[in-house]
Amino acid sequence: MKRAVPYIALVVCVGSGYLGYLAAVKIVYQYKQSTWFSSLEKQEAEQLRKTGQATLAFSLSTLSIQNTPLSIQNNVGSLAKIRSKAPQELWPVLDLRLAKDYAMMARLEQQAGEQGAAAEHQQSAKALLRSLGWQDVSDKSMTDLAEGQLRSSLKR
Amino acid sequence: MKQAMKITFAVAAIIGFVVGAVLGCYRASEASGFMQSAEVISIPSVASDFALQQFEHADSAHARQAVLLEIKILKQLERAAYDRSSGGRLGFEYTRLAMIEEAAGQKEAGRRALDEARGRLTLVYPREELTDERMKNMLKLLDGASNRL
Repeated sequence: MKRAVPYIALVVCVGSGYLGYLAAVKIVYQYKQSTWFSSLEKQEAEQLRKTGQATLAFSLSTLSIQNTPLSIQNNVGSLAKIRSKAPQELWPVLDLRLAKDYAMMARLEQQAGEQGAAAEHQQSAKALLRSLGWQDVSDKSMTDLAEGQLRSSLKR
Repeated sequence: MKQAMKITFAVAAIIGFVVGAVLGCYRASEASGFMQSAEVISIPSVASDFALQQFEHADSAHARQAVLLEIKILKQLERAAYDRSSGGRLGFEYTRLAMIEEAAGQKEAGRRALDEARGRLTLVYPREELTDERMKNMLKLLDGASNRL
């Protein structure tokens, strides 16, 4: 037992260190985050922090889109999560990305001969774009939008 | 013996916790700075892309809403002193707003937006003669460059 004491003490030390590290990271990060944009009024600063979190998550999610139905579907799921936490004024921004994702999915499904799914996704894209005030939501403009997105590596 | 062991373990736990906490504080400060910078970069970029696309495709009401959202966000960042380039950006977004208002037949609102744009852009381009057409052409050039990305 006596011989094991230094080893047990080492394990206790490392374990406590890990706990201390996790606790400090969480507490200090949350504190620091709460002070961002502190020169603005409290409510406005909070709104801007939420906007920042949503736009960063949106940018990262958009960066990871590949030209495959699975990747696009994953992005649709991510957008739903981001939307649930984002300020309402950012919803149209997320809806536009969602419409582009549906348009891309429709195009890929058309090319794969899955006409039923393609038509459904194209309708979803059109409905979202109409709600955003887009003036041309014809089949041709949907195809152009999807082709442009599929060609682009940035997916803006 | 038992007492000595207890003390040893307690001291080990305290040392471990303190060292871990110090490292955690350092890491959290670093991460906070990095994340704040990333968010400050992403906010105007996302808002600007959206405003441009709505300007090109949507009706006046929706395009106006998008550009006003960007202007609001840029002004907040400007007041929070995080975006030093916001003067130029705001100038161009007021130019965009003016173009939307003019297209919607709101001449007076368009005039006010152009005056605001000129005030902002003069600070950034003090040697340029900023006529209405010049500002609109500069915005079209910027939009063209942005679309080619």
